[in-house]
Amino acid sequence: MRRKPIPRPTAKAPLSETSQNIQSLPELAPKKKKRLVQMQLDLVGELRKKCRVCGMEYIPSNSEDVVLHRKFHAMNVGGVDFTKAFVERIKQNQVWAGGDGSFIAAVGRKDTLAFRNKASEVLKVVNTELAAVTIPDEALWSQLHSSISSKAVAHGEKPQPSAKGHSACSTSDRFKAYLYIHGQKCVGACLAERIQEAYTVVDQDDASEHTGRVPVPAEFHGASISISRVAEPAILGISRIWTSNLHRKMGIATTLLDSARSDFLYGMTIEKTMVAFSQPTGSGGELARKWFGRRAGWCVYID
Amino acid sequence: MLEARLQQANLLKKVVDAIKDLVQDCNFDCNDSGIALQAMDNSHVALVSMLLRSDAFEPFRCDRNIALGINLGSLTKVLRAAQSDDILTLKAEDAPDVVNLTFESPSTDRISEYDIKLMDIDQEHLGIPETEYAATITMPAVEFQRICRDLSALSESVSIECAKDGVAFKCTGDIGSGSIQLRSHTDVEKPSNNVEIDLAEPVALTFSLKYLVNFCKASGMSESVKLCLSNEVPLLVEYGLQSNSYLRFYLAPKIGEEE
Repeated sequence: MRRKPIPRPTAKAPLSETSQNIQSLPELAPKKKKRLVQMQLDLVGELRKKCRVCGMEYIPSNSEDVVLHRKFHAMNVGGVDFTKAFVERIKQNQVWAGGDGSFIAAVGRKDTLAFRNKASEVLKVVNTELAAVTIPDEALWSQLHSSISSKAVAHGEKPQPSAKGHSACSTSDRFKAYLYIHGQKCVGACLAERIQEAYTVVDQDDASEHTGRVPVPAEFHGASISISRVAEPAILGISRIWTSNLHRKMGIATTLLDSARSDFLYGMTIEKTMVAFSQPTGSGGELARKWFGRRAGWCVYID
Repeated sequence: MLEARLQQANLLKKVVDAIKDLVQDCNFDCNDSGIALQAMDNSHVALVSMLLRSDAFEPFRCDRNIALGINLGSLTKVLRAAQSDDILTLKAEDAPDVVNLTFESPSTDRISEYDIKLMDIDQEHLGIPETEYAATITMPAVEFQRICRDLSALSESVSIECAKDGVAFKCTGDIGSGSIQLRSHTDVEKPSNNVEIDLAEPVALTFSLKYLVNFCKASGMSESVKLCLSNEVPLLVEYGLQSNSYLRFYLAPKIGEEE
């Protein structure tokens, strides 16, 4: 043991002039440290604040929370950021193109992992805003052909939607995501699902129409709808649809719906009557009413 | 409508300068008693409370209570265009989109006019509880500024210890420590140099120097500053302005955590 220290000083000889004092310093410092905690003023009634635009609740005095909110807010309001290279790549999946360089790309099961991951990322934002459940990736990119026959049997359905629809569905993916990309942002998204049946929405307030107070209820319907008890055949389900706050009232969701209708099944455009929405939010209902062009009589499916 | 004429633009310039680093946007609440402002900084550690009473203006007219939501950065930009001895007039409609500032030069006939767009700031009124302070120290504003500046070179925080015989500002930092002692002092020739200590019970509190240095930007507005302390209560730093108006800062203390 004694021999070992001897070669060391010779090897590190040039450093030997360092003051001996240094060694004692780091030991002293932690001893002296009295941990001081900055208190905060408690004058506001509510500590949490709800952002009026993006709806996120956060604590403004907590810097971490503020950063998180800023990120979420930007995403929510302005859309999900894509890189330039990614936009170029995803352009190959383009199913619709607008005049100003915006386009809609479809992402399905057969696409690369990178595309599917991006689509999942967008759907995460969509689900948060719609307060919808997250669809696990395995289900999201699954195929449907095996479950179709069993489902049809289980429901004991006599008429298949159509011969054409049936043959196509046996090979179709369960979900397909449509991303509306504007510049380097995804500002709208629609998740379309292969479905079998849906229920017609019945008009709730026939009475109000008779009294002639149409304009007032027509403005806002709220999220509540009533559906018929009889299932009707349907092909395309709109599982999620969303447009970023800044880009609403510009026809993005309508364009998404039309693209999904013409692209979802290869070689055919699905009739509007064969399209159904999942349980819509207030504004989702508004969209459906606008797109179908009627207040009731469109379909909702249960997922 | 609101119309408030300030003989010296300097007052508003200095107020805004002193608070613009603490708050970015805030509401100027105008009513017939004057113009008030209350805002917390983002981290909820410090609070600014300003009151310019109507007597500070000549004339002052405010028919209806209005809140002018102003970005202080924008206000600073506009106020920079005013000379310190210009006469400043603030004008706003009853439901305003903009606030109008007019600067008149008293010596020449130059009149400049600026409009600042207002913003909708959602801010609730903060009820500041009335507090009986255990210690009140009045000292020259420049002296307090010097203490804060000198100690901030050494450390992040200062402990203010007030006892019967005087007040001590102490700090300990990486390079060493510093301490400044002040005793009650009466200067007959220049009362503004007085140091007065009014003590009910001894107090010792620690505060962040970063904020105190920030508060000291208001030193030019008043000759003396009042520090009010009580144990485990925010510090009040008050700069008295003309005609009973004031600029107050509140600062939450730092408390040593048990280890």
